[in-house]
Amino acid sequence: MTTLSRVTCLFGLATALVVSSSACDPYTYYNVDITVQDDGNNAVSDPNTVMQFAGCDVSVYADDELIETGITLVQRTAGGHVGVCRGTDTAGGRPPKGTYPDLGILDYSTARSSGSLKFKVNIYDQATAGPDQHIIVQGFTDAVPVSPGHVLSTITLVASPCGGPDNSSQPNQQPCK
Amino acid sequence: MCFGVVAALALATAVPAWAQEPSSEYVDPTIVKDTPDETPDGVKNLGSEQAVTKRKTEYDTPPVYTKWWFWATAVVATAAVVFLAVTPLTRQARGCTSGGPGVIPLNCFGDGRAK
Repeated sequence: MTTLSRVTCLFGLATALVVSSSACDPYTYYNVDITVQDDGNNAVSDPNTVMQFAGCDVSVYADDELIETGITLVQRTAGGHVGVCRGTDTAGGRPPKGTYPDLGILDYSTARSSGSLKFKVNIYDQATAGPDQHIIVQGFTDAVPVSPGHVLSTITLVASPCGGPDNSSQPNQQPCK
Repeated sequence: MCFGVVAALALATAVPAWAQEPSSEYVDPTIVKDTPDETPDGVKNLGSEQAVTKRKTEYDTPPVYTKWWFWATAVVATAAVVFLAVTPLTRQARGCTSGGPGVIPLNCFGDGRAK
């Protein structure tokens, strides 16, 4: 093998490594479509009921380990971020039109190479605002395996009203935690 | 039964190794000859032209680590491994999807994205 051939081989190898590395995306992307399920009594579509919602947040679990918690759920808009579970518009302080029951699609990225992720959404009751506020609507996704370099769309998350002592309209359901 | 017949034939025709006659008489090559000028049969002539040529061939080939391309390859391989190990840690995640018509885009966060 001549010197020129060796040099050509070396640079060819280096170029191939760089190109293959740049083409490989280590992240997995989750698109989670969050919908609030009505309980049949218009609990989540009645504007007066929606007014009870103080806010909502999303948490992320990796193999049942909490890795992201209490991320306030907001809508990305051209003018900035708008809370989707708060009365933020100017017309009566209600949530943006069209927000319920479809809250929107969450875009999450992870650098994990294995395992699976699960998402949880909580909606809180305005009547009990503060650190002890009650969760009145809650939902989980299934555990979705990590797949680096792929966009996992769309994962559905349906949040349902909670029952128990915090919500007398649903006496047969367990309270959310 | 077939196995027994075969085994019996084998035992009947087998000859123990100690019972065989040696093919030729063994001569110790280190035995010194009767005449002092004679060289024992087992002594090799290390100074012969053939032996010297062989040794030169063996030692005249320089070790591979004295070649420039060996070190160049080592440097490129090391740089490539470091690059491949560090790149995923520094690389940013792709931009947030804005969603299609009628889609409400929510939070965009996670690893590789600005907090």
